[in-house]
Amino acid sequence: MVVSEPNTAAWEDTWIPTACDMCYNACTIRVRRTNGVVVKIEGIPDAPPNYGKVCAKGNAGLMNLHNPHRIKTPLARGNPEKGIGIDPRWRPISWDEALGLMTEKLRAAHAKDPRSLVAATFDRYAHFVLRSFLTAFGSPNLTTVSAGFFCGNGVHPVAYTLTGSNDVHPDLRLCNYLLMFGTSYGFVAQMNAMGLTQEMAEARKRGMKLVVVDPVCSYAASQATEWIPIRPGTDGALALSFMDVLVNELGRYDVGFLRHYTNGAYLLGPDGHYLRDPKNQKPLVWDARENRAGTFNAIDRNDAALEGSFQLEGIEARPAFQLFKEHLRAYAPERASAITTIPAGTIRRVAKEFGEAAQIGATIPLEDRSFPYRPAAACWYRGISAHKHGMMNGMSVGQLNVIVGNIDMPGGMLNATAAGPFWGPGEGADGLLVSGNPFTYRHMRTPIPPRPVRRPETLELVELFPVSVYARAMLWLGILQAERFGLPYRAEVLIQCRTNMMAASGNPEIMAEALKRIPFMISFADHHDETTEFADLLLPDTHALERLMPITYNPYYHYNNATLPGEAWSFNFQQPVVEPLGQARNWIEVVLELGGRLGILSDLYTAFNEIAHLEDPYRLDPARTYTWEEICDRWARSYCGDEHGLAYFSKHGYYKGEKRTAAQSYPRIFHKGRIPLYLEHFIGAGEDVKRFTERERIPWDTSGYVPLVDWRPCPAHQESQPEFDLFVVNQKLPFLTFSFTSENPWLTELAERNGKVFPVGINVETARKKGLAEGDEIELETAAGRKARAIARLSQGVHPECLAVPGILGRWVTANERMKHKGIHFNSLLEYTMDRLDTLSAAVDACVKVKVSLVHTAKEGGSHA
Amino acid sequence: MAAVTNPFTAGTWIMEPKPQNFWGVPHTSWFFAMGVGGALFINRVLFGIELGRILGMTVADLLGMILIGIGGLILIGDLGKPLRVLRALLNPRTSWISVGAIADFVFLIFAGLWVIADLEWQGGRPLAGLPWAGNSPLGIAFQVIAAAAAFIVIVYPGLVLAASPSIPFWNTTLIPLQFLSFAFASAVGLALIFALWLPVPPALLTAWASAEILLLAVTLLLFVAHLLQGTASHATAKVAVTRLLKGELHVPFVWGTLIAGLLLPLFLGLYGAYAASPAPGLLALSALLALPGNWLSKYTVIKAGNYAPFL
Amino acid sequence: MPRWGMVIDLARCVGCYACTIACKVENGTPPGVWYAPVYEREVGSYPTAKRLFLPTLCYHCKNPPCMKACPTKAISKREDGIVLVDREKCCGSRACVAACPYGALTFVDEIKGEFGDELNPWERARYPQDGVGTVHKCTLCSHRIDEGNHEPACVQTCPTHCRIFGDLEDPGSEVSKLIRERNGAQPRPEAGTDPSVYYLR
Repeated sequence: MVVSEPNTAAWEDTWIPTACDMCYNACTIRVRRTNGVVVKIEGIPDAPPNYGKVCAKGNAGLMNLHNPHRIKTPLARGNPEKGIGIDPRWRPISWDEALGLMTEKLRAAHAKDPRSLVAATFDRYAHFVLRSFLTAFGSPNLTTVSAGFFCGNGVHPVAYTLTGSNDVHPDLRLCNYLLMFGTSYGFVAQMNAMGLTQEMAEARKRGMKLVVVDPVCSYAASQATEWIPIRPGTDGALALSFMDVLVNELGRYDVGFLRHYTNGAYLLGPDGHYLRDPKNQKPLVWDARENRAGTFNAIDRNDAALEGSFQLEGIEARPAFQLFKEHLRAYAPERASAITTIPAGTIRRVAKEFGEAAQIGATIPLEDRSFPYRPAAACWYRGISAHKHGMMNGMSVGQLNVIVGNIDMPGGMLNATAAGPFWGPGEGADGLLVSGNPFTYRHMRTPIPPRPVRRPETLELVELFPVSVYARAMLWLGILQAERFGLPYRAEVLIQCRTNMMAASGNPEIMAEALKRIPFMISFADHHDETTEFADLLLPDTHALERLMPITYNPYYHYNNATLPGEAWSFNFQQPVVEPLGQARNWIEVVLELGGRLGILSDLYTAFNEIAHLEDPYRLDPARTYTWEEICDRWARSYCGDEHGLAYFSKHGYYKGEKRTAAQSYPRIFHKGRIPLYLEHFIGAGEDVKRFTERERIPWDTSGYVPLVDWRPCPAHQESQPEFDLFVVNQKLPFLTFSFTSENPWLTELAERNGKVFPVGINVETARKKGLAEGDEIELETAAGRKARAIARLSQGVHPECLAVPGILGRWVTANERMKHKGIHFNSLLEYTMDRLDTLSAAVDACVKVKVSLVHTAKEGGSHA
Repeated sequence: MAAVTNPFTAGTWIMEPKPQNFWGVPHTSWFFAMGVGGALFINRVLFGIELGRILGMTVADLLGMILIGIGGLILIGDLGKPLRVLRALLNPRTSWISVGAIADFVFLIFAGLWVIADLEWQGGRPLAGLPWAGNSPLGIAFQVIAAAAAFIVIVYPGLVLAASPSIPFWNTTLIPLQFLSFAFASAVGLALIFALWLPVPPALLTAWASAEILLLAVTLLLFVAHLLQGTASHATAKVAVTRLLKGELHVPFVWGTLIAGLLLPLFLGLYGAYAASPAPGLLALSALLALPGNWLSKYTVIKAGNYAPFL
Repeated sequence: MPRWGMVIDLARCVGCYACTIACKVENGTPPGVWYAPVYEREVGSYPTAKRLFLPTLCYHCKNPPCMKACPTKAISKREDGIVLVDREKCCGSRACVAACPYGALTFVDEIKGEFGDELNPWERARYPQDGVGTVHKCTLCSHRIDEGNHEPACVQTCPTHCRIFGDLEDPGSEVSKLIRERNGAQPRPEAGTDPSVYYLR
């Protein structure tokens, strides 16, 4: 009969629950092991966050495990010269030798300056241990580079501003109209990819209108109600124009929300600052009933004036919203149309649809209580964040939500970490909303209140970014220009694992220069990649299916697996399914061993207790030594209760806790803190940065620190040479994200069969004008002379001013030969200089223009990728 | 890449007709050889067209068996599991390949046994004593069985194509009819060619030429009918017709098959048979042109086959 | 007796290819063989263009032309409608490959490893016996169904509920209801194959 069972008789056939590792989302999976071989990966129907569903990458994951080119022994560099394409001349060494060498190098670095140790990983909760190690060592330099270059720079600070949490996401269960800017949210991309793809499918089925704003007709745009193609980097102007139509043309905005939950009524003086009560320094609000000013917390919010102009002891006082409203007039649809290329009529129509869908004034009963009901939302992500003015772009879309009053309301934009047992946002200075999540303030920075600017101590120079949550993209500039930024030490040792920054961060040529400056680089990896090419010591890491790694999915801290309204909190674990290959070791256990060798283990444990937020009696005793299993066990019990330790997780793989109540899901009406619609705190923060950078003679753009959000062009918009006329847009693929997914031959074959992965998409009409045909080999060249070649794919689904380049391709060091040099490496086209960095959010500008020339036509037979 | 054959492996959604990519030269040669071989044998049995004798048997029998044998070898060689060829006899109820394979074996066995019994050896027929030798009742039965099998061998490749709903341009009985008429045209044509060296009475030559002309004309009409039917029956078949008449198959089909393989031989035949009262050279030339025409007709029809969009 | 079939709701598919890979791993198909491919096409013109996705599989026809064409009776239809290839009987004639209107069958004449000539442990364990020189085709995961009413792997992993599995004979099943209510369409009905798979637009 049909052969689908393994060929040999099974002496073992078992399913082991664990967590996926093929992207950042850590879906709960079960893995089938037959006769010692991993043969299948599947979801577990009841297990959050993915409820039994696994994407192409996850299903394919076992082929990465079985890659014969994995690293099996510790390797030492034999070639002192480093660089892209330079053979490191690896020499196998023993673990003993490797550990000895690391200890020696770390001791020397510590003696010079403990801060000279840099560590980088994108390995989720492994970084709790790594951060503890660094804390004990005495270094603040933990970074996640990679995605941090582009990803949430224009998202997280805005999310904190709106909700006090690290992220925001639309309420897919109740939303009726969703605008998406530069994201494929709910389409096997972004956070909680598989959970939200299910929700998105149901929402669309339910009739939710989905409008996708994107230069490329993405996978999301393809199934949307409407795709609105836009010129790259102009989404902010569109959002501001939507607000102008809603506020100034239609008068459709949520007055109640603005009065109660924002600083819209706060009175401003001519200098743009709050007018304050001289007695207590609290901002003043105009009481329209009593016709007098009072402190914001002293008057009835229903009486607060949002509009008008008032005299206050001879000074003209105007509510913040009045200025906001007037400011929006600069973004009439006609002007926005010229910026975005979207017809003014479309802007007006979509704004009207959005405003009507928000049902301002409506309420909904949930759990015996009435909540405001605002079933329209606008979400955004990397596409609009990765720009010179990423912070402003994100903020303008964020504020579009604020004016229809949907923040943390049923149907609207929700915080992504709300009301975990550890969390509760509070009211900070000037009545503004501040985050209360202990994980947040231990791992991220929050924008409110702005942090005082001080002399940089971190290589990321985060001290110069008072309203960002991180400044990961600055790392390489910090290393290359340490002197200019007044850093009192130099990077001596880099420990790096599971972050292929050379492929996934900034321009590799510039990063290569920075990597060469670091005298000793330790890489843990299960395969060779573009980053490990620079290592001095390359250590074999376990594959995710060979290791124990707790709390891969942790909604208390982690925004990326937002627990949906009404859903239960949950945690999952990675546990070994098979023995490590060769001499591979779980890298975090090696880090702990290093801690022991360096004699910092007790400090490490003390730090870990705080960083992982362990509670008694599960906190680690600094006087003892624990195995990794014991640490994981305590960690699990501390989060999930005494009976849910390692043994529980080994058996079940995940733990489901209490369900989120309506109040936890939609907490806005319970919060005291207000959302700043007018970013008054930016003024002081900007002045602070300006003062410091001028004093230190550091050239620094502080013009973005304005209280009213504007749209500003990226450098690429202002380039004048007419032949550089096409923007290159990087585009998401549901089956290839993160560089290591292209190590997988099945995913490679999907890409080959798909036909739209390796070529560059160009609008049919644009191609016609340029005399290009399908299959022609073309060369892309930036104004800075960076070049790439690819095959042209003519498409109706690309903005006429754009070229569509998908994924992280154009790999040059990979354990999968079939992927080598296939497609274009987008980041190689980017500049990585201060004028292309957002000095507010530290986002790298991904806006780049190229000229296109024909190399040879399809008929001449190009090297078809 | 592993070596796989799947019509749709190239990956794009079938939204317009897509040419089949798995049958080509070997199959054409197999179908061609079987058709001509079968017709040669039947012509010998029914009309006594022997084409001379060699190695103690008629050239027609020998060539017929060789061609059908070659066809069978191509068939077997083309199998993914050649050693499992005998299994292919198991499903004659619905599979024309199976029917053909059986017919192939039956033909080779019965024709072979009969020919052996009839072998000439040093002026005698040493095996004439076998019960099925010569025109004994059993001998006639053997020949009839072999001829019937040969007939199936001629038409079954066309029926393989015609029976499948997958490719609309193939899905018509006109194909086995084309195979049939072209096979006999080629077999008669071989007689005309051999007539250059053999003593053939002019009347017989004219008769053969007439048969040849008739068969070529019928074949031509069948192709015209096929093209018309393809145009009218299915949008996908229409695309196949366009590819044959105007597309990349234009040269081998229009020039190679219709003009050089059918029309020209037809005119040469007519001229050679009637205008200049039997001109053996012209008739042989006519027949010689029709042979590659036959091969090309099968090749182009197979290549023109295309899948219809399935949604 | 049930007649197992599938409804594919094209309005739900987002082109993630999870089904395609889940199937590959479940069935251990050799390189280049895909039982459940998704075809992607761009349609329309700027700015109303979009990508369309067409998830496919073997349609397990009630009247399967592949089964008829097979000279060795290697293809059979079970009582529950599942059409299977028995590779132990297959002689590799490819008559079925030609006969199927849907490109559902793939002939394999060589199996090399995904990472080179040598097979890795998964490949050694999972590539089927009699895989070379024979024809490979979707089984509707009959082994999963036989193990106790499991869904096929492609359905199990689909995050958008675009592939829906069920009994076409049962008028109350989700598939039957969807076919009725949303005018489910069989692929190429004029071919007379009566597929057990219906598409919803």
